[in-house]
Amino acid sequence: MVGALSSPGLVLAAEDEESDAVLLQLAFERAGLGKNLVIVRDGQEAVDYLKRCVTHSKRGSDPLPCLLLLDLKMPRMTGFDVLVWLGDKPQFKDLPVVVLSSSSHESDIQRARELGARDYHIKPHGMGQFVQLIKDLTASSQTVLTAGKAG
Amino acid sequence: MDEVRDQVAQIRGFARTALMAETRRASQAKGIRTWAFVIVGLLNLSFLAWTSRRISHEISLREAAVLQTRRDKELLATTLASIGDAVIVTDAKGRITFLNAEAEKLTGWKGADARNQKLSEVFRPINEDTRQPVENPVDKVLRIGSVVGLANHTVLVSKNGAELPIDDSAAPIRQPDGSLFGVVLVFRDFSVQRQAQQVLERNKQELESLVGKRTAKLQEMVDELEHVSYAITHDMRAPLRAMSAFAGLVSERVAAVADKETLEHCRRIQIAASRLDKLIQDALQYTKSVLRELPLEAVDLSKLVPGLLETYPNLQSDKADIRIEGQLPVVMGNDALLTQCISNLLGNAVKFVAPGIRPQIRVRTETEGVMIRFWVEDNGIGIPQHAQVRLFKMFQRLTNDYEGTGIGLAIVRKCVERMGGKVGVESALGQGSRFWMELRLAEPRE
Repeated sequence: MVGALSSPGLVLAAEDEESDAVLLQLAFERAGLGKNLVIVRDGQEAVDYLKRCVTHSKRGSDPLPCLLLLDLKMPRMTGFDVLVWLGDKPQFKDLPVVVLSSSSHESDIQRARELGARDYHIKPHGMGQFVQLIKDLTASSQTVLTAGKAG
Repeated sequence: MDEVRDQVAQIRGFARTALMAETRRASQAKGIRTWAFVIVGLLNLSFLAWTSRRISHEISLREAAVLQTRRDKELLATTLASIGDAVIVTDAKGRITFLNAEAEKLTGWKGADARNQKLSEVFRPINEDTRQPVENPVDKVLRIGSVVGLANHTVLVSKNGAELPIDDSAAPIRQPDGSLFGVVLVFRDFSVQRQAQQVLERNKQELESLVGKRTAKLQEMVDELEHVSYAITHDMRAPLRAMSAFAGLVSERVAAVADKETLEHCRRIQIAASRLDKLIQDALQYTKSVLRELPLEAVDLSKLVPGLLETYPNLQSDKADIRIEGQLPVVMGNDALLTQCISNLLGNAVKFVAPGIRPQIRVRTETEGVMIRFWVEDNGIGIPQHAQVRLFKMFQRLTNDYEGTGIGLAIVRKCVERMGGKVGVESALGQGSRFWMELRLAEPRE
């Protein structure tokens, strides 16, 4: 669901592990969406970014992302913490959140869903799989992502 | 004259004869009478003798009886007096008629002084905690009419005010016609037992506290272990992912220029990383099945198994024919553990088939009393006899031809054991395998 102020292409991802961040960027590039991705280093940065989007909404300088990809284990604020923070913020209720984690624990999957995550995916090992995953996720969030279009 | 003389002589002869006969008869009669007298006399005498003998016999019997009664009485009295417990007997009005030596000792009253007193004067029980007088057991018996005992924490106050914990019972004494004759109260010094009880109670509490502490400590350790294993495995998977992914990227980049070997090396890096990742996951799974406190609950296999077949991609109908035969029962187990076990077994059944063969798997259960055997039968490559012993141990892989970590079956075994059952297999090389798990029925079928 795309909000009135959301950019028709921006994906915000919170990922603390450097190699995973590199792979994520690579996957987006291979999916033709390299310019649509903004990566932040932990949950706190993600929250700060989203706050800026709201305060600057009139300005239009920090557009709201149309998809949020969250890792779970991050310093400062974990993926769960971010989900909790988003939970009572009506301005983000239409923001789809997908958890991208290395944990396959049932309890984590369940908790993520309970806290409002739309989907939960285990980080794939192969680039081919990763690219396909990105394509599926961006298609299903009903965003119209045009290659090269900046946020 | 001679004739007359002859006749007179005849008559005198006759007379004499008659007289002699008479005399004889008379003396005979007299003799008989004498004998009669004698005989009657003798009879009388013997009758008297017999009677007197009977009488004295009766007398001696009665005397003996009286003696016996006196002896019995003495015996009872001695027995009563010798009873280790205190005995007080009252009449139907609650007045003391008897007090034995032990009762004298415990109440502080002498028998003579206590006689005819009301029981409550002599026998004064109070509640140890409230200090209030307790209902007299004799009054209670008189009221209810059956055996009663004192409540706990009762303490007897003796004549001089000393307090003694006692244990007692009182019973009605009934006449043969059922009417109440009196009450007999038996009680004893309970102080030794009371002390023993208190020591026991203290020990019990100490023990419970100790057990509680140890359990808490163990739980702490288990939590710690779990936390560590979770953290370690999670942190290990990240670099593995990187290794795998970047090896793949290198592979891509050099694909155009590199020789087959270089590409092969990259592939091996990826495979190894993937294997290690699976190993970590399985090891974590194994730890979970060992450490976790998992409650047993009723699990409906007729829902669980079809559910697995729907959701697990490797069990889908495009990959294998998996048939459930008959009605699967509800068992006592754990949903998570059973999901793990059955998916492992089914996954194996699908995986270990000869190349080109479509896996055909049959799932069924057999009831054996309160247990059931859950069978997973496949048409796979089978397991040689000698290998079957090691089958369920950790890290035992029987063949390198098929992917696997060697932990899957160890996990199944651990899980089933934790649910109170056993696992096993029937198999021979080239003849498929029939794995079984023994589980407890949730409700025993008749």
